[in-house]
This record gives sequence, structure tokens and C-alpha cells, in this order.
Amino acid sequence: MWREDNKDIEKMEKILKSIHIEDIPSEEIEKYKSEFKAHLNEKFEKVTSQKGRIRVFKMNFAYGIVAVVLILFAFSFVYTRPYFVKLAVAKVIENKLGYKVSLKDIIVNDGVGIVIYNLDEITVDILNKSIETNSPIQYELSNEEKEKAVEIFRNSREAKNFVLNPGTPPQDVSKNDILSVKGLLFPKSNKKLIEVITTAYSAPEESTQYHRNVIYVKFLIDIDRGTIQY
Amino acid sequence: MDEHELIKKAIKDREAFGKIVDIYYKDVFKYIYRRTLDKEITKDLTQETFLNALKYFHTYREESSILFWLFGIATNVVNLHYRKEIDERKFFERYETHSKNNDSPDDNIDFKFIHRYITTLPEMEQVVLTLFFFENRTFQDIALILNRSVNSIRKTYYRGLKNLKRKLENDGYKF
Repeated sequence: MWREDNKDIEKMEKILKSIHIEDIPSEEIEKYKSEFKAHLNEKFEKVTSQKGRIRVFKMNFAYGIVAVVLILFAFSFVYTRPYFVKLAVAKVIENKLGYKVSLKDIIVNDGVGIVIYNLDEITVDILNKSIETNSPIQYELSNEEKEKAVEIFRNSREAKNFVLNPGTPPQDVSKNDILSVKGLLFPKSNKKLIEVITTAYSAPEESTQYHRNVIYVKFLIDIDRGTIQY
Repeated sequence: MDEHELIKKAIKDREAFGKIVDIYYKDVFKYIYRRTLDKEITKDLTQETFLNALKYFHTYREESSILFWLFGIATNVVNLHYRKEIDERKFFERYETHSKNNDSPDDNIDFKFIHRYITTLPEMEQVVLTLFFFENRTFQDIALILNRSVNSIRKTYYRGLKNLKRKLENDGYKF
């Protein structure tokens, strides 16, 4: 098979080598060349200036791409930086105070992370890893704020299924009397929380199965988010 | 002035470019003619080859000669021309209208006859066979022109010969 192939190839080579190619007369080619050179006089400037324009366009295009990349990079930094600050703040709080805070509760302000935990405003400067704790200041609530806070409380899942202690049955405190509504302002973050105090029943004591005490329960309402904050 | 200096000058200087045209026009024209067998088309494609050379002088690398570089450009220009022709289906019409007979192909064989078959081969095989048999270039030269390895050129060459033979046999020619 291989020998046969080889023979065929040799035969084809022989055929192709034997082909005589009719030469084009040199005068004819010279004529075409002269025509082209005459045409080239017009074309040369056009092609070279076009090349220059293409080079300028390519340069501008490259600069444009670089500018777009830089802008995108800067924007990505703007969006990702707060996330990294939140991560660092959560880490510092966990290490120094032993609390675990959720990233969504951390407010980032000028590279400083602020979180409200147990009615304290904890400010963490991640550069020098310092922690400052502030108590909220009481402020005068408007009627509108009061109504909104009460409405959030009455409609909340937390009030409708209030569990006093783990293991005790849930109770609905959403329709109970409201004893007080107080505005709390956290100075560093300017965050406002509204404290709503209402009543609930304590769990029945073991000795007197039917005796239940009325107790006061405190709810913290975040009216910006429309939620109850623990 | 050596070839490379001439190229550097020709980018901006019309006289220097004219010199390149003077030196290489004939060779490029002949090569294109051997692939197209049409003087008018060859004239246009040669012109296109030199204008492309003027546009892309910055792509010229000193390791090959100007002639080989121009052959490379001419190869692309001719291939592009054939692709357009195939799109317009003219090529197939031309191929189908050639007379069929059962003579041995080496009786009265001429370039026009074999050219019809060569132009039906894949692009690279056409180029390699034309450069080898009708431009008398070596495998090394062809490798430089097409920017490929000598081995790959050799393989394309043998594949081209086999395909050419098969096409002749398919049309009833006996060896």
C-alpha cells in the first residue's frame, strides 16, 4: 500500500515537473508595472495618511480602554471597600468583645464601622483597632414617629409570637397596652431606634400552676427599616 | 542600500517604495499569475499585494527576505480572492465546464489543465504545490514564505499530490 502510494506520488511529481508554463512577456509585465506606479503616485499619500489616522485611532482607542478599566476599577473599589471594612469590624468586635455581629447590622462611615449591640453603640476604627462604646441619647419623638413605631410593633411577627424564655410557649403581645414610647439617638451613627414598652405574662410558677405575673417587655423599633431590632 | 534599510525608508518615502515595486513586481506578478491564470485578475491582485505591503510594512520581520514576505502577502490576497469567487459560485461553474475525457493525464498536459484541478484543492495545498512546482521554491523557502515549519509544508505537499491524483481519477483519468 505504502509502495503503491509512493509510486503514485512519484508519478504525480513527474507530471507536474514536466509541465511547461508559458511565460508572460517581460514587456507586458513592465507595462502593468508602469501602470501601477502611475496609480501609486495618487495612492501613496492616501495610504500613508490613512495609516497615520489608523495609528492615532488605535492610540486613542487604547487610552480609552485604559481609562474605562481605571474607572471600573475605582468603582469596584468604592463598592467592595465597605464590605471589607464590615468584615474587619466584625472580626475586631468578635476578638475584643466576644460578640458575633451580623454584617448587615454594621454601618460604615468614613472607614469606621459602627454597630448597635445591646443598646450600646460600638465604634470600631479598623486602622488602629480601637473600640469606643457610647450610650444613646434620649430625644423627643414626633407624633408621626410614635405612630409608625407602634404600627410596626403591632404588625410584627416578634410581637405576635413573643417568647419570653426559650422553652416557654409563645404569646401574642401585639394588642397589649403600650406603656411608653421613647426615642433613642446614637451619636456616632445618628441612628434612631424607638423603645416601646408593653406588657406580657411571665411563665406560670411550678407550685401555683395557674398564677402568672404581668411583666414589662421592651422592644426596639428601627423605623427606617420597619423592623424590630433585638 | 540593503533590503531592510529600503523597507524602513519605503514606509514614508514614495521613491523608496517605487524601488521595491521595481525590484519585485515581476516575481510577484508571475507567482500570482501561476495561481490565477488570468492576466487582468493578476494585475489587480499584484496591485493589491503591493498596497497591502505599504499598509503593513511594520509587520515585516527581518528573518525573511522581502520577496518571501511579499509572496506571503500575495498568497493571502489570492486566497481571499478565491474565497470571494467561491462565494459567488463562479469557481464551481468554471470547474464543471471543463471537458472530460479518459486520456492519460500526461498526454497533452498543459498548465491550464492541471491548474483547474489545483484550484479545487484546499488553499494551503494549492499554495504549496504552486510554489514548489511552478515557482521552483524549496520546502525551506515555502516554510519561510508561509511562516510554517518545513515538516508541515512537507506533509501538505504530499497530501496535495494525493488529493490531486484522486481528483484526476474521479474525473476518469487513468494513471
